[in-house]
Formats: sequence, C-alpha cells, structure tokens
Amino acid sequence: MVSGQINGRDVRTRAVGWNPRLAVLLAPALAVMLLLFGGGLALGALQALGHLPGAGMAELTADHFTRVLLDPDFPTSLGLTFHIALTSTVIAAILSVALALALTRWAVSSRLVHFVLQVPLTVPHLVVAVSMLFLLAPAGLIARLAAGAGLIASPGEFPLLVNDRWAFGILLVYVWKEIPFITLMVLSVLQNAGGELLEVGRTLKAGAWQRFRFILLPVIAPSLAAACLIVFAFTFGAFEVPYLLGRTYPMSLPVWAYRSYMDVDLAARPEGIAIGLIIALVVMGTVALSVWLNRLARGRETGR
Amino acid sequence: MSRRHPKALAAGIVLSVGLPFLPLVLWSLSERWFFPGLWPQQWGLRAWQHVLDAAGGQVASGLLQSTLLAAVTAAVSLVIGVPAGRALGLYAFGGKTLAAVLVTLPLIVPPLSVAMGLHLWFIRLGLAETFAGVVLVHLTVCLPYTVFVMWGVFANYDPDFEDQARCLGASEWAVAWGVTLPLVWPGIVVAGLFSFLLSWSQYLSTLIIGGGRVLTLPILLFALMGSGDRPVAAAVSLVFVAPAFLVLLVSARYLGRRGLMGVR
Amino acid sequence: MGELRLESLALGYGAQPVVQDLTFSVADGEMMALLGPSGAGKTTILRAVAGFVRPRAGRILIDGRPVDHLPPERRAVVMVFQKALLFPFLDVAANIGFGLKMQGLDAGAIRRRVAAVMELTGLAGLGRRKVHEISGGQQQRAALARALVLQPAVLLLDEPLSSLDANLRQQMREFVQQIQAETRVTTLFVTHDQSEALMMSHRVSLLLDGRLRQTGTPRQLFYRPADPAVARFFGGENFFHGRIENGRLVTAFGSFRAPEAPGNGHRPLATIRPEDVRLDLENGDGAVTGEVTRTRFEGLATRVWLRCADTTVVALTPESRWTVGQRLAVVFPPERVRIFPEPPEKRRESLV
Repeated sequence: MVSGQINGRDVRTRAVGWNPRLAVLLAPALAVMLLLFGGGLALGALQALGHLPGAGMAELTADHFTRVLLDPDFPTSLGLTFHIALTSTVIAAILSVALALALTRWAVSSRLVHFVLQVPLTVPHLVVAVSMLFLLAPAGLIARLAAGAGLIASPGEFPLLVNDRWAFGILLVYVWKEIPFITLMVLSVLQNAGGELLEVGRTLKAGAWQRFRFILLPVIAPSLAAACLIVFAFTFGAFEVPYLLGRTYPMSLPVWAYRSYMDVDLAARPEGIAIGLIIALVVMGTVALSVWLNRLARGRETGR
Repeated sequence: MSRRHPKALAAGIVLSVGLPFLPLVLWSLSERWFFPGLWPQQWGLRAWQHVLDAAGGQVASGLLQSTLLAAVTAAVSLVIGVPAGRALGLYAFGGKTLAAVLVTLPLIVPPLSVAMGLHLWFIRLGLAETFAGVVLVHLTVCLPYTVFVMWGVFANYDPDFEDQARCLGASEWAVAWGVTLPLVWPGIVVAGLFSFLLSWSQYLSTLIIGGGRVLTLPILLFALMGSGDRPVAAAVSLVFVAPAFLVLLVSARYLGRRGLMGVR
Repeated sequence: MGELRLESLALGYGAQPVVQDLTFSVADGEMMALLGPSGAGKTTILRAVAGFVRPRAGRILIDGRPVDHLPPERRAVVMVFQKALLFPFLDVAANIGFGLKMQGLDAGAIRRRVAAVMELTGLAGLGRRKVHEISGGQQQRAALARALVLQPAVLLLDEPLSSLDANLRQQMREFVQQIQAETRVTTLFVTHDQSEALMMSHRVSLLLDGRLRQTGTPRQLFYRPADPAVARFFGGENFFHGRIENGRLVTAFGSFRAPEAPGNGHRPLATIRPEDVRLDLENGDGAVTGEVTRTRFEGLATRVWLRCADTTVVALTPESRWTVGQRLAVVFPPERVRIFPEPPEKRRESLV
C-alpha cells in the first residue's frame, strides 16, 4: 500500500496489478471512449481522407486537407479563431486572478457572492450570445441608452460591437462565461494556502509585488494554467457564439467546418470533417505543447 | 479606505452577472419595442403564452426532449463513469496514465470534430436522427467530466470504511449500497448535475446526429434567432436557463461552499 | 468462546514479503498485544485475520476451525480501525446497530442490544447524535461498541487509541482494559507503543523485521528478553560480553551466575537495564568505576552515561546529584543481569 497526502488528508491508494475487478470497473468507460470518441475521430479521419465507400470514393487522398489548408481564407480563419480563443482566455485569466485576489484580500466570502459567481457557470453559451446580441447590436439596449443620452441619433451611428471585425461580442460572451470558472479554480487554491504563505512572505520581508510574483503566482500557477487550457480548448472549438455573433466573412474554423459539413453539396462534407480534425489537432497540439513546456520549465527549476 | 471596497466589489459582481438577463426579461415581456425606446412601447405576454402553450407547443416538446435527453445522458454517464472514477481514484495500476489520457482527452477535443466523424457510422447503424444516437454523442462530452469528478471524489475517499462495514457483516452488495453510495453521494450529485447541464447545452452535436429530428431547446432557439421573433427567442432563452438555476439551487443546498466549482 | 491461532502464516503485497512464518495463538478471553515499530506488518496481520489480506502460506484458525475460505463478513471477527470510521450518514445508534442490521435482526432487538452496549461503553443518551457531534473519545468508544455489540469470537484493535491526545489515550486504555475484562472477549490489539502493550495486555507478541521475536507476559518480555533486539526495543542500552567459566559469566563488571549458560569457553552477550545499574560514590572497595561523561534530567529519573574502561554504561537513577567528570562505582546487581542464550552463529555481530 502506498500512503500519500491529497489536499492535506491522509488517503491510501492501493497499488495493484491488473486484476479482473479493476477491468470491470474501467472497461465500460474505456470502451465508450475508444468506440465513440476514438472511433469518431478515426472514422472522421477516414472520411476526410476521402474514404467514402458508399459515395463511390474509396481511395485515400489528402485532397480535402490540402484544399482546406491551401484555401486563401484558411490563414485568416485560423488567425481569427486563435484571436478569439487566445484573447478571451488571456483577458479572462487576468481579470480572474485580480478578482480572486480582491475576493481573498477583502475577505468577501458572503454566500451571496459565491452563489452569484456560480451563475454564469450554468448558463449555456447560446443564451449569453442571444443576450449579448440584444445588448450590443446597433439597435440593442446599449445603443438605445446612447441614443437616450443624445450620443447617437440612429442605430447606424452606434459602433459595431457584434458581427464586428475584432469579434468584440464573441470575446465578451466568453469573458463573461469563463471568468467565474477560472476565478473559482484559483480561489480554491488561494483559500487553502494563500493566507499563511503571504504571512510567511511578510515575515521574510517580501514586498507587495514580490509577494504576488514569488508567492501567489507560483501557488496558483498550476490551477490557473489548467483552467486556461480548458478555456482555450473550449473557445477554440466552440461553434454557437461565433456563429451568432461573428461576421459572415472571415469565419472562425468551427463555423467554417459547420458550413462545409452542412453544405447542400455533399462533396464538401469531407472538407468540413477535415476542418473539424484540424481544430482537434490544434487544440491537442496546444495542450501537449504547454504540458511539455511546463515540464521543461519545472525541470530547469529543479536543475535537471 | 477599504471598508467600502468589499461592498462595491460584491455589487459589481452581482451587476455584471445580472446584466445579460435584463434584455432577455424585457424582450420576453414586450409586444412592440422599437428603437430608440429604452422601454418596450407595449408590454405583453404573447411570447410567454406562446412558450407555455402546452397543447402541441413546440417549446413544450423541446423542453421535454431536452430534459429527457439530459437526464438519460446523465444517468448513463453516472453508471459508466462512477466505477471508472473509483478505479482511477483508488488504485495505482499499470497503464493508469494511458487510461487517464483516454478518459480526459475528450475534455479538450471539441464535440463537433467527434460528431462529424460519427455521423456516417451512425447513419449506417440506424442511430442517426434517433434519441439513442444523440445520447451516445452527448456521452462523449459528458462521460469524461463524470469520470473526472468521480476520480477526484475517490481520491479523497477512505476505502477503510468499506472494510469496516465488511467485517461488521455487510456483504459486498450491502457495502456498495449502504456505505459507498451514501459516502460519495455529494460527488455523484455534482457529477450528475455536470452531465445534465453539459448535455442540456449541446447544440451542434445534437444537430449533426439528430439531423433536425431530435428537437431540443437549443435547436429551437437557433431557429427562432433565424426567424427574428425576438420576444419569443428571449422567452425561450429564459426557459433554457431555468434548469441551470435549479441546478445551482440544488447544489448550493447539497454542497454548501464548494458549489459547482469546476462546472463548465 | 474464541481462540485465535495463526499457523506458519506468511503475508505480503506483490513481490514484497511483509511477515514470514508467524505462529502464535490468543487464548479464549485473553487480551494480547501485537507490538512492533511502524511498518513491521502488524496491521497486515490484523487485516489477514479479518479476511482482507489473503495469506501466501499458513492457516488462520478460530476455535480450531480454519477460516481462510471465509470472506470478512462471515468471520466471527470484528476489527476496529485506527480511525473510528463511523459512518457519517448514520447517527450514533445506527452506527452501533449497523452489524446487527446486516444480520437481519428486527428493529426491537437491535434497539435493545444497542442500548445495552451503549450503557456498557458509557454512551447512553448519545444515540440520536450525529457522528460529528460527539467527541473524539466518544467516537472511538462508539467504534468499539459497534464491534462489541456483535459479540465477536475475536476482537481486533488496530491502534484504536493512536489518534487520541495523550490524556484521553490514558483514559481510553483503562476503559478498553475494563471493557475487555468485563466482556472477556478474546482481543488482539496492535500497537507500536511499548508501555501501552505492557500495561494493557495479558501477553505481548513482539514483531520485528517481519518476524515474531518473542511472545510472553509483559514481565517476561521486559525482564527476560529473548534476544538483544527485544531488549533494545524495550530500552535496553547496556550490552556486554563475558566468558563462561564453571557456570558463571565472567565480565569486566564482575562475574554472574549463569544457570542456563552453555559450557566453558562460550562468550555470550549479557545485558542490564539502565534503571538496574547502581551508582555510588567511589569508596575503594574494588568495584568497577566509571567516569560520568554526560547526564540528562528526565523528570522522574536522571540518565547518566559513564565511561568504564572501554565501554559506555548507561544508568537511570532516581538521584540527580551526579555531575560530569565524577568517578563513580558502577554496580550490576547479579539478579538483574540477563544473559542471552548464545545467538546462532554470526548474527551476534550485527546485533551488538
């Protein structure tokens, strides 16, 4: 038996070899994942490589991938998708850390605030997108406020905040949705360890900035990084929000994938799947890269 | 100086979170509302009557469809995910990393990539455009979360409770039912709510596999946004959020402080 | 009735052996302590008796009948764990009645027997409390009550007092002892605390390095340790060699009667407990003398290190008047010297 500490509690993991009981516990979940998730990706890859026996296409070809990758719009779409995912993640991360720090510092721990903070977690993205449309559109609530204040006379004068070049509306939805997620992840770490460590920092004469940089940041870094990766992965591959709040051109990759897949021309379908797989690859690549970089950094810290 | 900060911060949080609900409520209660009116020119309950029209109403059936789908998906996720979470949380075994990657990779891979790949296969198997087919595709999203939550629950779980019960004369089944289940119940509630909400808010995977036959609320909402009937779209949006609030209230009661941390 | 017997038991996890060739029995109504340092495999032995660990070899018998084929729930054995492990979703009474409910008893019978055992364990009136609403000592007593109510043939206690603070632990020791005396339940309890083992049990089994070193009454283990390792475990610090001459052990500290000693020429090891060493001011009567190199006041006694020729002697004396540098007479009362039977071959070297 191996003893260990998780979250300060004494727990015991039982080291066992492979036994039938363990297989029974794991098999259903692994089977579902292999068949549905792995199978979905594998079959998608086959179709994207042109293997559609029913439709008379049986030979493998990279045509669909090359057509997508060489499409003049591809770099723009990729760039837009990265912009949406990265910008919203970074903004949400910065605001979340600030919020978490403020909440711990001012000891705001009322049940109400915690409850309210959880609200966005449960609200579907789609609903938030609809609401942002009502708020930010040229004839939306904010434009009406501006008109009431005499700032604009007609909807046309209101700055474009949805279906706009910089994807402002999309970013706003994601930031609103993801801040509570990241904040609660960071907060749970801070509340467990933050206070005492900061006091230790004070006795060791660390200044405010030093306490943040050398104590708080390292403490929250693992949870923050994990939360950011999940947010990035989600926003990179999500369809609803850019579909509702994005411009028709250029499209984000998920919207493009959807359009191609749903095209009346069935020949465009493999292209849609190819884009879907490219999205999956980018996301997995990003996560793998950051895990690797993190390991590298940790290796350097421990001098190995 | 810092006396007033906490209140200002709390107020700021409440306002920012509440703001997006304002236009939805206003629009759902409006009959006519033209620019630049800050208030609807004419209030009315048309949208809500439409939504609540139970007799053959699309919204009512969408609500039912979504609820059933999410409930079945959550139930299946729990039945499959709780044992896997136990295996990962309680035991160290060869190949654990591989198993862990396999069940957590779907957390980051977007469902649209998987749904598109599954579609053709599901057509062949007769699963496309069926309730079961949509449950299966939702499972690829919900199951990993369930496993993940239960993994964490079982990592903080003391299996000695089970041994104690065994030597007090409880059979394996009695232990599973009378000891393990009550001990991990809060975790099961969270995992179940997780899955329910995730399935509840799925749009694209439902559309691809359900092919417009499985009409859930988000599918209806998208159609409504296309039709431009804002009051009804707003009312449906609010109906769409309702279970989320229920879930939140339940979790606040069940889980206290920890709440829904980690839910997406 | 309840006699527990382990025969040539071998236990281990994976490729790692934990305990080998373990044989001992606990008589009906006896309280036996299984004593050993942490990691000696004590808990594994209890888990094997309870049925959670499958022995690699050997047998476990209760009242003469092998129980190895029985799952934990069908053995007439109940284990009380280190943590109280009261089910948080049940109240105190329901926790205590858990085992009876598993046996399918009717509610009335359960209530009566639970009430009786709660009376016995001083928990009367706490039945409706939630588990977290009672104190740590009460929780531990409830865990004991939950086991006792089943009237097991053998009760296993896995350091049930180690999570309690010192004062409470002392009270609980007396409590457990008293309960055991009243119920006469055969008890095997595991502890790493030698004083706990000595004061609570009828007999003690000492486990070191996966082997049973000695089983006997507390006095036997304390005053007649079977080998130097046992002596060391109980605080033995003075070990010295001697030579057997005509039934006496001749050493630098004098010669001692050695009734069990082998023949002339053997060189067995002997020991004397620090508290048995007598110190006195040097008076020139030819006693061995030593120079005090260090003293340590320990409350009830003072520990004194002395340099005698080429060995160090440690004495524990009630007097605290000795000072470093003093030369003192060092006397080993012959009746307090323990001469070990010659250890097999070279193992002696590593033990000294």
